[in-house]
Amino acid sequence: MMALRNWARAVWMGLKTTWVGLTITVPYIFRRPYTLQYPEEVPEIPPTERGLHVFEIDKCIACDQCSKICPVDCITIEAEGKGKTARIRTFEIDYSKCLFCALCCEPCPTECIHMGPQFDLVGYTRDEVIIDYADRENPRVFSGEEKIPFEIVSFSRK
Amino acid sequence: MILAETPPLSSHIAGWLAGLVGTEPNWLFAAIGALVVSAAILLLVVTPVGLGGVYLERKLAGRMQNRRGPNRVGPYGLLQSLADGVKLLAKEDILQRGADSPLFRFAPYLVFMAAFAGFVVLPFAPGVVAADLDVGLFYFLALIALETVGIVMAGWSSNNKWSLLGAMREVAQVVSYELPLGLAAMCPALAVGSLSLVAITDYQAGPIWKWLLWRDLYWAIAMVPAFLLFYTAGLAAAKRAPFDLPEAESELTAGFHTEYSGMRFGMFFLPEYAMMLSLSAVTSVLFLGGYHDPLGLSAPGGMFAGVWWWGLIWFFLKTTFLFLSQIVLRWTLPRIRIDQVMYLCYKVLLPIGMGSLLLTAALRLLG
Amino acid sequence: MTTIQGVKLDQGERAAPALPRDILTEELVFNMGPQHPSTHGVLRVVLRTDGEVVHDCQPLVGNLHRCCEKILENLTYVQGLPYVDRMDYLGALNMELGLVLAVEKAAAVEVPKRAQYLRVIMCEINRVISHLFAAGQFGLDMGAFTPFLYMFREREEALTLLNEVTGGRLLYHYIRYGGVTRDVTEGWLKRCIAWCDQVAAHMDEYNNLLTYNHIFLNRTCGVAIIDKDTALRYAATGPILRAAGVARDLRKDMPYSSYEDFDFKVPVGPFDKGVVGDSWNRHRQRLLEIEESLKIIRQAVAKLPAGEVSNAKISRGWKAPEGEAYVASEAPRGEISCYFVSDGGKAPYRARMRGPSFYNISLLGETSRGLLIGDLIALMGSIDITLGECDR
Ligand code: SF4
Ligand code: SF4
Repeated sequence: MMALRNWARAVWMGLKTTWVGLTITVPYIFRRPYTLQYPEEVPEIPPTERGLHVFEIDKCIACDQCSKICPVDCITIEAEGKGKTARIRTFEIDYSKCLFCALCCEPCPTECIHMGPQFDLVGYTRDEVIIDYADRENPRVFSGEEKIPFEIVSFSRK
Repeated sequence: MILAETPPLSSHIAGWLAGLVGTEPNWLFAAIGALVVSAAILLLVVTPVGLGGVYLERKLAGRMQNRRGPNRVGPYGLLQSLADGVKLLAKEDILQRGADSPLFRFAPYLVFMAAFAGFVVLPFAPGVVAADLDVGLFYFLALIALETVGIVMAGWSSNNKWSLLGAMREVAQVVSYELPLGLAAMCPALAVGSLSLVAITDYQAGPIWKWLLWRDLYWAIAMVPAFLLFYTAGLAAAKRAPFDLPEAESELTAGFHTEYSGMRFGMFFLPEYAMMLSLSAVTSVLFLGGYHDPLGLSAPGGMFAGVWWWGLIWFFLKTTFLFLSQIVLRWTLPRIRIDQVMYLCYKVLLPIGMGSLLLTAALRLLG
Repeated sequence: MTTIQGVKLDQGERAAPALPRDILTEELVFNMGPQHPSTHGVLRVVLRTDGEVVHDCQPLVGNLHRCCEKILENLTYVQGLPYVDRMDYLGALNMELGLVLAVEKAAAVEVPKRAQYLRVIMCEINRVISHLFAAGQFGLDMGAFTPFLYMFREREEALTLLNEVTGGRLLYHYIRYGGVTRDVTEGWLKRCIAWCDQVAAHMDEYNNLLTYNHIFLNRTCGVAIIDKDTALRYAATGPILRAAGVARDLRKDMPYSSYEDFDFKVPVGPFDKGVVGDSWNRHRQRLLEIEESLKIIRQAVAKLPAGEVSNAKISRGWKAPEGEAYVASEAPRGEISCYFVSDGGKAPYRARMRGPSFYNISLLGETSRGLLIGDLIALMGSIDITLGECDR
């Protein structure tokens, strides 16, 4: 008798649990999906996002502080002269190594390197993810007077 | 569905071919004609049905999970399955070292064939049936078992232990669900007194209470359990969650088709949906009146008696409903363990099946 | 009814029947992973099975070894911190806290109260999403795909919250020596509470859809039991130990970072189904811990004191004075403890991290004997390891 009761209970539980599950999942069919359609709908990126760097080239005095603190040594700087008159020849960041830790922004004396809001960078080769910030054509490089078109949060901890 | 009217079509082709060569039509041309017609049906009717099934499943699963599902290829992502098909065709066909080549290559065809051959006996609408076999139901159940052979072949010949395990599970599952499936299918057959799917459908002509599921209400005591049984065992036969053990991707990577790539994988993928569809169709024929509408308009003497498109609509509606319910279940329930599948089939489903068979027999004797 | 490891099972039958002598059975050796879907990363497990029944199982770890501790010894203090994030990437903030606490103790650094509370809030959010991930992943292993994505919805919101304060979505680099990097705003705190409500509101959904699903119960109750003894012998910690009936939670037992200010319970197994220490109890344990964590977050937000968020004395070139310390703290997966030695140089002399996953995964060998392959997946899923932290 006991066995029969257990058996009936198992059958009943199987039906019940299916029903309970369906009452949860089926209504979702008629709700609005939660996901964003990424390339068209861009998620809201907070200004604190540690994305690809943003560089104000004219402010940089080629002091090498940023590349010294970088834990993975992924910043390469070559410049003529030092201080206010410095002319940056290369300022390369190797994004295949970068940790996006924002440590490079912290010691910069002129606050000219920032973490920007852009988070997507793709390439077919490893060289394509090495970005030269001395190149003024780069959309993430700004000259001294230019206003950066998005909110920049200071990571500086001098 | 075209097949019912096709003997002339295939003989047209045969005649035309013979005319091209300039001889009298003989058996060779007849065979070629039949081949061309069945290939065309497979290509034009059955494959889109399978692809549509894949699309429906992905879309529905997406919406159930708060996602959108495919929406990039074509309007509402409708062409997604087609794009996937093209991708599969373009992929490399890998035959790994140590595989039993002939078996490995043949297995997908066997599965494909078995799954699609089931469509032959389905009565889509009054008069639209490829072959009204006297043993249609039996034939259908036999084909389900045939598919298993292909799966075991695939698992064995892959030279991969996960595949082997998948095949083992399939066999264990087959021997357990075949019995309840057969028993459940016998109930309507016994009630009607025929194994022909057309005969079973036409027995249910009339308004909704003539359907076998609740025929004259009192039949429900035997038929509702049989219906649930057939549906559950059908899930197992189509290898759908919660019974998707042979391919259980979180346990066996991909089970029996782990080693298949490209179109050979597609040959396993599509039949799954064909199987679901044909099982849903058979369920609707056995218990839900097949192509008869709930108002009895298609019963003899009714407004739409013998009208093929009216029947087709209802057949399609019922089948789609059952098909969708299978999808919804899959994305709701976790997977059962293999020993629990056997436990369920032998200790829960089998007694129910026997009980409802006995009840059916008793009801038939009494009235 | 069968007994496995001396524990009677009342759920499901599973006995491997004794085979007659004349049937030749051969053991199969399976290589599960490193590319297996259920090994949660690059874990390789070698199985010896008889058909579906696992006879022996050996986890082979180390595929993700990155010399994390050695790297810490070669970088300055500030530079080392982002690396710790990468150990347990699902509970990154708790990892940071583990190292930072030890260094702060050795160097006797004062941490402002507000920073301590912020650490608690962030770490608890991190714990919640880590547990959501684990529970969802477990469901996924059991073949239930949908709850996983429902849980990801809440996780997504939390990631947005964390991103706003820390700047990262997975690897935060937020907790620093002597405090945290950034303060929170009032608006953020409000949204944080709203998120807590949202998770709490969806808890029933998870439970009904997954935890109390009859199939799920049958798959996990009484399966892969890790009892008190075994858990203690293998130095297992975290939800596994608590589900086995040992009330050990370092947040209660050795409060750090002001955890003593908060009122919360430590859920201890067994719960209403299954037997103590089985897969289901481990799963339930995580879901209950989520509820407790939500309580802590609410309290911390309500009580958040005003003040600085960082100790101004800690500068970029900061060197810890000579000394050593050992601090253990409670990460989502168990006890993360750090033994730290400084010789006064600009890098740690030694920083040894004890990650819970490494100890928890070693349970696999003993516990898996006699399980079916499907149960083994349940075991691995309910142990919930992160290979990044296991291999370091
Ligand atoms: S973000 Fe970190 S890793 Fe990247 S360049 Fe800056 S300091 Fe180096
Ligand atoms: S620290 Fe600032 S100023 Fe100095 S080199 Fe780097 S970016 Fe230029």
